[in-house]
Amino acid sequence: MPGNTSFSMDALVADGLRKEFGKVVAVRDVTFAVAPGQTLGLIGPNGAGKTTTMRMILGVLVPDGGRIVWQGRVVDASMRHRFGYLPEERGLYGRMDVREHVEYFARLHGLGDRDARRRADEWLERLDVAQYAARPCGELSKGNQQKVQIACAAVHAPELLVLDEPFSGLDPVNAEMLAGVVRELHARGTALVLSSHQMWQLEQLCDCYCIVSGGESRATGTLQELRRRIPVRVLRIDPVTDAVRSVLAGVAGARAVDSGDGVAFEVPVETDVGKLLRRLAPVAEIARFEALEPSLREIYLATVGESVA
Amino acid sequence: MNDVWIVCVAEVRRRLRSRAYQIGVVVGMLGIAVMIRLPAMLQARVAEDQTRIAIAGPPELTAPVASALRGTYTIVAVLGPRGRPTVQTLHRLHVTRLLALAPARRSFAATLYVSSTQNPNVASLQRDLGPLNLALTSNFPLETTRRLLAVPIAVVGVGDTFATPASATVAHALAFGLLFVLYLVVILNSQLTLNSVIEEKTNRIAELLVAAIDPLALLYGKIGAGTVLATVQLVAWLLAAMLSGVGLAEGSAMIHGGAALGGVLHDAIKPLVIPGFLFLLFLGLLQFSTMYAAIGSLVSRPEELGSIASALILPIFVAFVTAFVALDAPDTPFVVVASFVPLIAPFVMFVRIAVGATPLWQFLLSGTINLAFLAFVAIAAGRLYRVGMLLYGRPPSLRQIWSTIRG
Repeated sequence: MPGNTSFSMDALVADGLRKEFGKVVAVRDVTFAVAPGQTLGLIGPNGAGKTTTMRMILGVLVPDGGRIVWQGRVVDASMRHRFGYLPEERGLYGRMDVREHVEYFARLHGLGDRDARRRADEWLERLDVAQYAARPCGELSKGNQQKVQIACAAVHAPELLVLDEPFSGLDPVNAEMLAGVVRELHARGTALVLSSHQMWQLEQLCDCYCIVSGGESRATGTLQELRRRIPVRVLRIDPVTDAVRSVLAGVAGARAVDSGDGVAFEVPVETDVGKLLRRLAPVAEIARFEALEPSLREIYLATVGESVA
Repeated sequence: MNDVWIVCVAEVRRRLRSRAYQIGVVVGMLGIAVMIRLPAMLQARVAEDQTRIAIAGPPELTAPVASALRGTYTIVAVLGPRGRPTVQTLHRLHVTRLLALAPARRSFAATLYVSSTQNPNVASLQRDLGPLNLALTSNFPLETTRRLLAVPIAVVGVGDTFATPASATVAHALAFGLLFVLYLVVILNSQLTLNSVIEEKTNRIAELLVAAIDPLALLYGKIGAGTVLATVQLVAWLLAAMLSGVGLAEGSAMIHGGAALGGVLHDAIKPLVIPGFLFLLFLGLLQFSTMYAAIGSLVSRPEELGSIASALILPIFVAFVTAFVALDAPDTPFVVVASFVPLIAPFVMFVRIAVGATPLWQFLLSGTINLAFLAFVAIAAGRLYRVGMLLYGRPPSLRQIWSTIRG
């Protein structure tokens, strides 16, 4: 996992972040790290402190505790130009032309006039909105406005791009387009932090994860590392005969669970699945024997459930 | 500094496209032209009505009276003796006044029939007919009585304000006009800055901006843009004022004894007036627009402005009313004190330097106090803006605002 203990090799480190708003503690203790060129998925229920954490990374909010380190240096205002941000609730200047809008954000991030224009045109082309370049943003459809917002976030080729619920409100075509942009930036070596409630999407895009609940990071790591936190594995066996039940009853800690489309069995993670299959083969005709790794969604629910409990 | 410049340029371009600004400039130009031209046009119309007159009476009286009035009045008709005319008679003659003459002792009795008793302007008739009356009763030649009744009185100012009534009139007119421009430029551009801040909050673009640059750069870029646009507006309005005012100033000077326009303007516009006007205009604009921007950052939607609108309007209202008082009494203690008070001073001090005998030290002291206040407002507004731009939901309480300002 990028950086549980040593932060020296990491691009971004959030270390013990804390943020209070009056008497409300929005973020209590969030810690994670992102290695260079990696994508981190920040997951958590609504109100867990994800957006506040992202705002602290970008310097929009000043942490009350902890620190944010980028490439070995504590983040300050001078580094903001190197970061990009796509907030959950985003807007555009309705009267500003599309190209002018993207150029404006490029300039705000430190690009010169010529570079700003060139990059703006590239991104508008890339996102298939070049034909609207001279039109006021307010006249664009919602989908095209979202493309312009993405262009604004990425136009300056940020070293770190933070995307807060980037897929919310996007139709499937635009969501796929955005996923393509994320993959492209990832391939170019951009470090990414993104939050989403679409777990399957995060599984496709992220290298590592941080599960936040109640303002605290509950689990961090790659999917494999997170899976180790779940002490059981699910076995899907078909057909489930009495003989199968009898063998499983002999496995310490095994129990039948309803998997939604039939009966499955949870067994402790240390169970030797191969040995179990060898024990089942002589006593039952097994058409299907599948050992399922827990999905990100299951890990998330288990982790958040723990924290709530 | 570069960020401030980038924001400023983008803001200028954005606001130049805003209908509110475009309409403000054009309507302002028209308004100023009308404001300058209309009184003169109305005055000319009234003067024309008052100088067209019909005379009625026996020929031995109407002839010398017509002769005495001819320099000042247009004699539309000379009629024989008659009784009280009806208003229709006046309409038929295209006059608003008929002077009926009748013999009385060795002179004449005069009755002025007017269609409206408002402003009958009898003094002018008395002045013109006085020499004739005296000539008829005393048998002195008319030329002699004219010379005797025209008592020469020279008016010479002995204070350090204006040397002549003409220059005092021009100075007051100029102060009034520029005060109006000052007020409009400050209020309109501060309002535009406020709208711009609220638009960014309503659009939810604020968060993107403050993630890219320091909120202070954003705030000062906006205020800089407001200042640039105010300058454009000011130039347009002053141009409109100058084009509309061509000929009027000369006419005004002529009314006051035919004084040379150059001399009148030289006396009316004291050296401090133009630089003082520009300094106070930008001072007022910066004070108000900085304050407005900070307040704008505290509301989430334009509708919420209603609750704090009175707080925004009050200082401008007080400033404007006090400045009007200052036009007539620029050096009374109340006005002098007001000319040092931040937010009010830019308006009142301008009037004082334009029409009063304001010592330079008072102007400098007021400027220093107000610059210090501006520095305070800029710091406080920066703190409020930094917090306010991300604040949505219920507007903060006064206690929270004060605690934010204290940092």
